[in-house]
Amino acid sequence: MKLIPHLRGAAIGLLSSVAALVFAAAAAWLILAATGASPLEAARAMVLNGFSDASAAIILNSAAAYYLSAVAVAFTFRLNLFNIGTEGQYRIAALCAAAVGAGLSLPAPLGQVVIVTTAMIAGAVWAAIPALLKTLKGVNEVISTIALNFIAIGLISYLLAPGRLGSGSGSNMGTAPIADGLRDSGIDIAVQGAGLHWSSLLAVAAGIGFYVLIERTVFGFDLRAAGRSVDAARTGGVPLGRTIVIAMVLSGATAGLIGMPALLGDSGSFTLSFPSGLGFIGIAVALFGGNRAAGMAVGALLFSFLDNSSNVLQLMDISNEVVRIMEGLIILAVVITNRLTSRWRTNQARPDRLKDMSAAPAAPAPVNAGGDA
Amino acid sequence: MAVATSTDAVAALTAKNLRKQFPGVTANQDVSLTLRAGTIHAVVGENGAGKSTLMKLLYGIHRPDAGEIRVNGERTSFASPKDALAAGLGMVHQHFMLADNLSVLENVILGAEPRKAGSLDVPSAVRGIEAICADLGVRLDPHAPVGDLSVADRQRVEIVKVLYRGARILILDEPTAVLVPQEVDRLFANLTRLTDRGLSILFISHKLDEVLSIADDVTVIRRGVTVADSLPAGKVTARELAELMIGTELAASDPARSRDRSAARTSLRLENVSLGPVPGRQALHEVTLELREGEIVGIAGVEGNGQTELIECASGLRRPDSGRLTLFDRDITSMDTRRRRSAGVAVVAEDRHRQALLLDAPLWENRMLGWQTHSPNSEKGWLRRKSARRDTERLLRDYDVRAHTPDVVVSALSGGNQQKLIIGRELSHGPKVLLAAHPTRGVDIAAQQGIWQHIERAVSRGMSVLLISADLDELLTRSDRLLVMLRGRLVAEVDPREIDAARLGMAMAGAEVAAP
Amino acid sequence: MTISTITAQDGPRTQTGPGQGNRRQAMLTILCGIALAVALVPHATDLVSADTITTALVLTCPVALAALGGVWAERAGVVNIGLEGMMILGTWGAGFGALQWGPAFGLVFGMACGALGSLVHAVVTVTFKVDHIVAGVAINILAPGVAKYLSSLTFAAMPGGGTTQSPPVPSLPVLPLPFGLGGLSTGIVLGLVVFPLSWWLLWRTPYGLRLRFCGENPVAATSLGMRVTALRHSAVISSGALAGLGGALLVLASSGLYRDGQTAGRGYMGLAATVFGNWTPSGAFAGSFLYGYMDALQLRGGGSAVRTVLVVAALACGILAVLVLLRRGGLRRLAPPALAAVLLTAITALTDSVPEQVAFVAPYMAVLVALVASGQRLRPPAALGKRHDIASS
Repeated sequence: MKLIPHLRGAAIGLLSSVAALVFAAAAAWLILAATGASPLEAARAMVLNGFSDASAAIILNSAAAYYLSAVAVAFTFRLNLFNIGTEGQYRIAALCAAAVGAGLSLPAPLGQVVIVTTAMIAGAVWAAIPALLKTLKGVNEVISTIALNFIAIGLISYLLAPGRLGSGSGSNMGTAPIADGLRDSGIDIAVQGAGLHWSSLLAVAAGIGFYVLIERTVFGFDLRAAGRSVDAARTGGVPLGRTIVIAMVLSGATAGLIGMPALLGDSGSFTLSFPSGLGFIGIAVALFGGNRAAGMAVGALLFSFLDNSSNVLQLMDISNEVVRIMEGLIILAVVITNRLTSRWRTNQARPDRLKDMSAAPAAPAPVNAGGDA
Repeated sequence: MAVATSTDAVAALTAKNLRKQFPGVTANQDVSLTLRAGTIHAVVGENGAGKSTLMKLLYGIHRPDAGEIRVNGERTSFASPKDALAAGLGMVHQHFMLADNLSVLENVILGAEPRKAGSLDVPSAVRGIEAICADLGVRLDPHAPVGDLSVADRQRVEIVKVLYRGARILILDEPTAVLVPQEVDRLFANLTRLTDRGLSILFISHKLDEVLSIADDVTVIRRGVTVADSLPAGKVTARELAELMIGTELAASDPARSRDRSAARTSLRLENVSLGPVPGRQALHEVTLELREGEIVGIAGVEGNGQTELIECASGLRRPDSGRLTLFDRDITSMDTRRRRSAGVAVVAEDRHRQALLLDAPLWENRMLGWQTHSPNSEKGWLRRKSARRDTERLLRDYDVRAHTPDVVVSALSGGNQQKLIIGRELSHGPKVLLAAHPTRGVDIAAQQGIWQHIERAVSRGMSVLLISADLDELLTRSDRLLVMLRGRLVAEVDPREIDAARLGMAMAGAEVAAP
Repeated sequence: MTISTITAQDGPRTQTGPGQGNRRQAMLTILCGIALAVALVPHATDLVSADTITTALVLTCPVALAALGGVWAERAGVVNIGLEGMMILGTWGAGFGALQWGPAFGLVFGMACGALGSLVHAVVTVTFKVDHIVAGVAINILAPGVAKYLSSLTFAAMPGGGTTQSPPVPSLPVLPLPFGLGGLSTGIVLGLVVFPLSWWLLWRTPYGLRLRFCGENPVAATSLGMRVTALRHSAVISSGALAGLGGALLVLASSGLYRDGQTAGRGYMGLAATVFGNWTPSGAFAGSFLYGYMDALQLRGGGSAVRTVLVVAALACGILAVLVLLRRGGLRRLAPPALAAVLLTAITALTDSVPEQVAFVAPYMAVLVALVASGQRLRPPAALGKRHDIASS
């Protein structure tokens, strides 16, 4: 009797995720069918592409960036803090890391450590601004992080100008390249020609770190408790201001890692064409994965797979934007089904509660038993 | 005040044998009253006696399971407050239903807006409000934002609001609970002006002296049953009302404890603790009290007289503006909640769902809350999930929490089981002091006894308890000493063995307590 | 968003709405300071030339309409960070509508597309009670995809069009202005008219009162028989229509074609202006104008014009600081303008042409500064962002 409601709950949870995916797939199917393309052909091409050697590595590399971004926002989402500043944080961090890296003449592992650490510190500092504004001045984090994203864009474009940190012109305007010895040579996995970056493994480390910190430490407990109920957390002795600042700083430091695979593995310098938008994708991935380490991993792979198969679709004369639409629909479907299942769960719990109350053998049934109605 | 006292006159509002049952609880068993037109009728009863349920029945928020309601002699059945409003009933809630950021005028006219050519007819609304204010004898600036008003003015806005909708029968839910004495007098003057104009008022309260000074008739409810239906107020005394309210069951309850702890060490001491006024909160004035080891000190008081703030100061949730707190002579004034807990201060918070539980988290995580930095929950910052789970199983057994595994979500438990979990958690770390706010509120009798057994056992080992409760019976039988709190001050100390509930109730209401 | 409830301090409740007492006086002082500064600084007259102002209005309008959309939704208690997405839908709708049926229909169709986007937001947040920010983020992911997809279906096949941009669209007629002020697109004029209209609807009609009550105390509104769900739906849909109109104006009154990524975060800026403007139409417009004006200066005069603005701002802050000092305002009141004056003077003294990025960043800095300085004085609708369960009331 005790296990059945539990199993049923888990099954419903799983079912709701699947239902969301099916819904999104069905919607994409309809869209494709409406434009006269063959949905089956498209799906086949996407899957084939996804499992080809070259694109598998590309998918894994971009999944790593998506995952880092998702972990970064999850640190604050679990605290019920809507930090959407990851976009600005990772770009500032990548620029700082690129600038420091360009001037570095350290031997291999040490140099990379310095570059990655610089990125983490820069991201953390940029994230500390909204955290302090919130705890000291009560500034809403949604607005402050949006503003800081734009300020970051301005700051980066200012710093990249020749004579400051950058050189070159047009979209090539950027920092000097990092020495070859410090670049990410890539991992020679069994498949030939694959370019999985070493730095993509940062995502694995971040995921493990996130899981351990959130689920296994007192700090993580504080953070989750405050995310669930501010009042209960305060009564339970959680230092709220400190938790907010630490969570934001951790988020920023993780955000600092997002650009590392691209910087060390691909471009070697920060230019105006450095990948953008990764911070926003992270929000989508985190929402998809329910801010859990494992769920976000699935989400990162799924979104990366979808994004990278858009090229294949273009070859088939299908607009690659179908993928974006699908992603948006998946998110909407996931959040709605989550909401519905949580409502279902509370409704389930309610009759239990009442049954429990009246079934308690020692509870007398008379008029006034409950006292407080 | 007396308009039509003839018994033949049609009553403004009558309730006959109302009954309302909620799953597991019968809130109203058999409630009747008759509100004569043009009079003020008080409904009194202890907390939990069923007064609020009665009001919700009369105002259409709930529908009665049995019984009938008549307005002006006609039988009615309200599906919603909207119907009640249409029938001329208006309710002034204890917790105001106002939008603070909007103006008095906007709050008053919502849903009954005067229009002119599609837009709000502001001048006409202002005229209407001013006319009502004049009738009522109050002054309100129609354009002032409600958030800037005093509590008393907000209450006036609520009254104007229902009058603006043409209500002829007003239901006021504990209107004086939020007012200081001078404002109570002004409110009563306002109400009298209304009855002079033929309006009828139903007035819910548990402050007996006020009831006797304003009401024409009094109805007493005890445990969901009318024990006195519409007594003329002139013919009863406060003492008789108190006895009716509390009943004679007291005699049958446990004898008061007799423990003399005056020689024991002082554990928690508050010295001249004061707290400035914050909107919606009671200020504290120079509160001084001390708890000794192995002693239960009860705080008696009508809710909202500073008990919540007292617990907040003692637990470290709020820093007092002045004064000092010590625990075994160690200054803890500037310690935060976590450090106070580590020093041995456990808290049973007032609002179980909001302050004490993470409702969608499993039992074992809830068992950790507040003590997450302590063994067996964690060590050196690392959670010990296995041992925490195991300890939760122990707690479920020892405290008779009816749940099958520590992994059940806490919201799936009944209120009584949730409370037992909280008590077990707070007692599991050898606290020196327990700040217990309503430890058995909303819990069935069996669970109440279980909870008290556990607390008493810890007390016998030297723990001190600061007990806040709305249940006078509980205060009288459990406390070694009783302090009476009124408007943020400790105004009297009484011996629970020598005072009965009626006199305690009077003391809480601010009446002088005569020596026995 | 629950955390915000505990850190947002209970500030002094003195200000009641746009333009009152102290605030009006402060505004007047600032305006006088600016006027004086304009008179003193060389070349400053360029800053208020007709050309600059009309350009500023054209650049302000789209942002301001998004901000007004924010006012509508948030006054009813629904956070709408999906404004950016709704605006994007508006740009596509305007491009398609204008090419298909003419510019006036483009305007209408752009609004309709924005409204359609917000219908999704309304259903998700109001009916399903999903967290408002989560839903908004999803809209912002979905909308650009939809717009790009639709444009690849529609514009790609047109001569002069492509997957990322439409052929040039017929533009709206230009309304000549008196006093040699040139002309202004009728679309912009229409956009400007929407502001007083919204103010009247929200603050002077029973519908507006009910809508605002839903954002303040939905439980009380329900108890008085208001249909909170329907009211909120209507507010959110209006919000999207306004954002869509903003997007449409980008196409029809400013760039003359639909282009992918055309909104460039204007929806987000609009949301910031909603907050900056204390959830009022006039405040939202003022905040957006700051953005549009800086943008216009950058376009017309480049770095030196922006520098002139900073000089003027420095002078204005200085004058304000002196006034505070004369009135013995105390350090707390003196510090912000004095610091700002010193900082601005330092910046302008160091360079003779301010980097172009300053103009870009300035509005966002202003939003942050405003939130820090007056965060406690801003009064968001009390029930903003909270889920409203009628069952729990």
